[in-house]
Amino acid sequence: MINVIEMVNEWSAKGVEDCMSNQHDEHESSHKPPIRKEMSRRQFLTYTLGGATAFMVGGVTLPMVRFAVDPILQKKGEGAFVKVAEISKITSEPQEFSFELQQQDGWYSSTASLTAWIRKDESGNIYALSPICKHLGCTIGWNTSKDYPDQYLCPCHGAHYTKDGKQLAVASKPLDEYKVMLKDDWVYLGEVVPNTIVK
Amino acid sequence: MKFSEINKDSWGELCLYLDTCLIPVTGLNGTESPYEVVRALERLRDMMDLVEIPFKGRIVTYPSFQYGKEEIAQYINEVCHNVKRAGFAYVIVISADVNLNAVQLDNADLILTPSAFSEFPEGGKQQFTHEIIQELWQRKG
Repeated sequence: MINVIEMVNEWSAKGVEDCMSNQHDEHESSHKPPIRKEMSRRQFLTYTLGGATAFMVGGVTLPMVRFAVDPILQKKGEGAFVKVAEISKITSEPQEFSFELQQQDGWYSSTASLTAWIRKDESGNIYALSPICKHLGCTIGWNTSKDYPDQYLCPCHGAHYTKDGKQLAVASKPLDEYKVMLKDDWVYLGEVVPNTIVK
Repeated sequence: MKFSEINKDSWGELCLYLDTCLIPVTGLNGTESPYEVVRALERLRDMMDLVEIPFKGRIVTYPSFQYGKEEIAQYINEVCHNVKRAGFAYVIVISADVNLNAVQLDNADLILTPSAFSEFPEGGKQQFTHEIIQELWQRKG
């Protein structure tokens, strides 16, 4: 009886040894270290605390960033155009028109009083020139000197321009122009852009 | 343009064109309430707009004399003299609340005060200022 038990134990031990030997061979053949799939307590705490902190910081920061950049994200609509003059009053001779434009500079809103020299060409196209001299920013006038008839003249340093705004002396660029929109018999002016009339 | 718009690098080129200095006088004496100070500054600003905007490329606005009225005329006159020594060809003194007597400021080329505008309507002030400054440049130019 004792011998039988010893034989069984011996056989079992040998079986286990063979089994482990096989597993060992398999590991060696794949050349991979054993991987522990379960998460350690330290990793769990790191991920949990890190995630919670990131969530809280993001929850505070993102609305602040969105608030700060809001003016940039606002779309510019047709509100940028201002009703200035009746189309019927526009002649081939430039006329000065004053108007007010609501300006938004970031969060600062202001009303600017502006003027434009508006005329129509031989084809009936309506143009509006900015009165700001391209030399150093003084305000030009139309036909203000006998020496420069039918020209825009700057009172500061004598820059003068043709009816289309083309520079003739002192200034290096033509007068800027306003974007023009015609609607319901009225001339609407928008933002100032570089002169497109002068070629 | 304002003195603060000009830096050291740009002044070398701009000084050839910016030959006129504008010196504002607010005329406060310290007894004003905060809102009265605001109104005084707004009155001065509105008057300065008549000069600064049309002639931005030739006139440099210097810092204001905030406190003092007629009694500081001699000091203002001295500053006008110094400004010319620094290279400006013309000096204009402007105030919305102080009637500075032209006799007291013989170093100033032009004095723009409320009394100068008293007989003009709002639109006429702009035209008058435009003409009188151009006349100054032509007279001494």
